Amino acid sequence: MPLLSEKVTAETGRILAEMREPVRMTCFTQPECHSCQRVVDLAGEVAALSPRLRLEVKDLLADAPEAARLGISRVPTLALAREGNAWTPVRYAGLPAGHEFGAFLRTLLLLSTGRGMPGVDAAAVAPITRPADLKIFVLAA
Amino acid sequence: MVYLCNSIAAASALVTVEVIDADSFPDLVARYQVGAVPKVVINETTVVLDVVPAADVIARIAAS
Repeated sequence: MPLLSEKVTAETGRILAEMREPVRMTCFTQPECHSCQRVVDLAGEVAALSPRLRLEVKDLLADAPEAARLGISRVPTLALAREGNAWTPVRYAGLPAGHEFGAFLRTLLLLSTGRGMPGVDAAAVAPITRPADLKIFVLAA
Repeated sequence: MVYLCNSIAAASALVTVEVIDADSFPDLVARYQVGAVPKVVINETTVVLDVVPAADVIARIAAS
């Protein structure tokens, strides 16, 4: 049974139609992870709605070098990046559903178009001169 | 707050974001003492609670 309702699927397809450059979603899983399949299923349903989205599924241990390169140490984690770009700025740990699904879709658009929140551009972030890692705790349900 | 932080990460090659579903990772909730969401932890130390303007978040990242 699909995770997205018919209505949400249709609306998601409309939103993703605005994508320009392709975006890669890399889902890191492990066999004993009970919640991983739901993230893979959700990402798969979303990926099926745009030819500019690609989903790859990796194992945290079998693909340890790539996980380490992306700074991923827990599952399920969905790493988002513009296709062909090694820079992977956003990771989702856990299911990006419920209240977080809208921001998740807008982030896919952001990575695809390069247009984010108004006023947040290269000039605005220029004061940031050192590497920073942000952890944002949310409740998806 | 998530979209704001993701926008900052997309604009700055120095910033990465991990969006964590608190229900899925109780160990992290305990480690980072998450009592309410959204909660942003910058470089393991600086904490931003609630929704604040973009310029404030950028300033706190720059100062961390």
